[in-house]
Amino acid sequence: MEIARIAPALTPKTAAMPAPPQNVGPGFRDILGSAIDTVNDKQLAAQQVIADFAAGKGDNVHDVMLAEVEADISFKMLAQTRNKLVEAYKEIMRMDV
Amino acid sequence: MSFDSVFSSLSVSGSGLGAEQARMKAIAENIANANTTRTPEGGPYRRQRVIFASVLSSAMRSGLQRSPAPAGVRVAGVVRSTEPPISIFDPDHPDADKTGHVAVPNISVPNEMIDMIAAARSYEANLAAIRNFKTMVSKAMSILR
Repeated sequence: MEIARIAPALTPKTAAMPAPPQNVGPGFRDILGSAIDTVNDKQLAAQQVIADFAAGKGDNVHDVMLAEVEADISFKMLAQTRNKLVEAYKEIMRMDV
Repeated sequence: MSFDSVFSSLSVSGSGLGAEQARMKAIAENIANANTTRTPEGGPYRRQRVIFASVLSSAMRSGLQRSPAPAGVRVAGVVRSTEPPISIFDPDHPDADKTGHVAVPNISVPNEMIDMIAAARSYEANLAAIRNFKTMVSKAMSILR
């Protein structure tokens, strides 16, 4: 009987909630996805530069090193973002409802 | 999302490294050919000099940006010295003329060594710029921690 009384009180509220707005630009998921793609591209590019250099195709050492630095920094950035996200998620999970 | 603007200073320093490498190559060639009397063009070897030019970013060149945005340095060209060769008296030399004089390159090896030190130091300066850029980015990322 308790449940029956609560249920009608809840349903109008959820029904009255505004529909999620459409076309509000790229969502967080898209931004994160494209960032991951960029980082992955950097990793692949660095790998290609190293392979080329090992095969004797490279012109100079510093281009190889710079490709590695770019891949390294962008990966660290992604790792930091991920750490922060997980931290925020845990924070929400810890929250008392 | 593009990381290109983040890494623009890396590519600028990278172009500096490439430019100093080209300068080092020219100096090495000058030292190696300090006594060369025969060249494909005829006459003694002529000293090489590397000319640098600054590069504007592609955004500036395509008119997207008003203010000049530097995008590094490039080797504009390698020019041959027009200084006359030194004439030394060496009648036994196969390339000696009728008076026994040989035209040898007008290259002072000590001067080339000094230029080489300058090139090496400039290379190190570019490396230091890259190191500092890495440190700066790492420090910025530590904000999140």
